[in-house]
Amino acid sequence: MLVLTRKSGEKIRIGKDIVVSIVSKVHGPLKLGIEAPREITVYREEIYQSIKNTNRHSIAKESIYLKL
Amino acid sequence: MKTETSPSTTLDDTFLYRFHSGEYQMLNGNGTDLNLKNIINFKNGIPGFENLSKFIIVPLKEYPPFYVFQSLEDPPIAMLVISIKYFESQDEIAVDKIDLVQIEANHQNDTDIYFIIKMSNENNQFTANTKAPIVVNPEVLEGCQVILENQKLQIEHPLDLA
Repeated sequence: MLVLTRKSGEKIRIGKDIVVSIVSKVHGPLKLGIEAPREITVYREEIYQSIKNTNRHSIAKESIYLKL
Repeated sequence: MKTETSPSTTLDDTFLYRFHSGEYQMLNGNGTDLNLKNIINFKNGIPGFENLSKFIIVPLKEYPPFYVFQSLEDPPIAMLVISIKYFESQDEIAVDKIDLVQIEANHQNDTDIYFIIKMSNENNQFTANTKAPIVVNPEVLEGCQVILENQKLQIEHPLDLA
């Protein structure tokens, strides 16, 4: 994993069109600003993982598939 | 969840148990309204199934609130979903403009919204994922699963069926 040191207000660029800004770090959580093309979706990782797990556990049994 | 039933409908969890236990046999053209012209494109798949993009959403005629959300790709992945119309707190569902743009919709009112239903193995409780609904633009047949910011929404919203 690449680890960079950045100050408040500084940015990093990922590829040609994703920019992540450090919005503030005073006390408490770090705030990030993300600029990305509209086709790129941005999620909080832990929420994405729990949606993923829930989706996988929502799969119905084979016999209900529509026989196409 | 509302528990209204229309005269022709028995909305009870017996059906859900049959469905999840595999007893309910889905047969093409029998009790379903299958139309392969209505294949919905999910550009980025859905979380956990990022590689699947072609889905159909087929109403279960005998059980109007429920639909089968099924992949047309291999392996066939199918989930039971319920329309937002049966959710009592519809106002809590606000799809972000950025997500609407993904499916080429101007307004949330132009979309169809569904919640994925899950059965917990521990206590046989059915839940609906109101945190991450399936949103479809029926005009252009584009869909996505969105993750809503609203803290009141739950990934496992208890489904109370009369």
